[in-house]
Amino acid sequence: MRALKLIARFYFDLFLADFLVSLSCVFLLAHLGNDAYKIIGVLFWYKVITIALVFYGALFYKKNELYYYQSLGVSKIQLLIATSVIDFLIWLLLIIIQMSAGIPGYILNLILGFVLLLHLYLYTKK
Amino acid sequence: MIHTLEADGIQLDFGLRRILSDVYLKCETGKITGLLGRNGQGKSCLMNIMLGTLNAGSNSVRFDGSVIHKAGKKPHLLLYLPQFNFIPKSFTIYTVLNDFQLSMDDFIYRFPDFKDRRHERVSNLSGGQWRTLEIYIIVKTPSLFAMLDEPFTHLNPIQIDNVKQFMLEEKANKGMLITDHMYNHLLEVSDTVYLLKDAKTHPIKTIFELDELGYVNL
Repeated sequence: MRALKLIARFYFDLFLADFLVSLSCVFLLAHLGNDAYKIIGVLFWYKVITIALVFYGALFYKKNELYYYQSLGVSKIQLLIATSVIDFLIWLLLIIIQMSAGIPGYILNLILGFVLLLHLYLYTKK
Repeated sequence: MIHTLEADGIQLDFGLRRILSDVYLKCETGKITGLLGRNGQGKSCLMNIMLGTLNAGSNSVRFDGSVIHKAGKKPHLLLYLPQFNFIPKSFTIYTVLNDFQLSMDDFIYRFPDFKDRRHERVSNLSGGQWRTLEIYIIVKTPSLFAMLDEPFTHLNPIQIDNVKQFMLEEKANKGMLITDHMYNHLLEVSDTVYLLKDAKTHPIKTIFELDELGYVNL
């Protein structure tokens, strides 16, 4: 349970960048309409590569903090696997919803605005 | 029961430059082991090799006589205080102590400076207070050994005295390996001292040996 809490805290700092990538995929699918399925493969690799890049960036900017997690028994590999899986599942869920039901544009805008405002609030609180 | 942590036969090269060779170092629970050495002699490298985060050409890190790899992944065995701040700056003191399952009251009792600051973010602490908190969690968290890389950096004289007293109290619960440039403080708290010079460890009995080996000018 403690490990999950720590992973969630680490993931929080990556969430905005990862979520914006996922939302951009959904926006693109919404824009393409019936032809959306043609670019699913490209979006999959786009997501995989950005997950890796965002994690690499986090390692670069937060490398000192990794000792904190290591002292608590959560290794770099565990952080990588857990945050990547969580983020990929969020992406997959959004894609499935978009492909099966289609998320209305105004809902996507609301989600985007909400996430940005939430992060801005929490960032200023820091 | 006394446990031992040994580093033996460690050899480390960076390109053509030999950093460590013929290194032997032994830590025991209930004792503080000091490691001295000039800048660039490989003190932090040696700690990282013992921790398993730096690969050496050859090395043998032994716990109770058995070779162990990646000791840093076993926090119940070995904890490490790096020479830089490692607590995420957005965390509060309460969050940090809670993560390490340490009592806030015990912490405030030991370091009264922190009274009424439990919900303060680490980034709002002074450098000395930040370092004190880091030393506290590494030394106080249950584990058999702790390695502290330059623990006295950023501390003022009163904080250094408090931390030394705290280490002497806590050494009953674990073995500690400390390296720092403030050799007087290190010599005061250490039961065993090694000097790292010319890629080798030299056991030190008196401060005069430090003079003979060229580490200090007495």
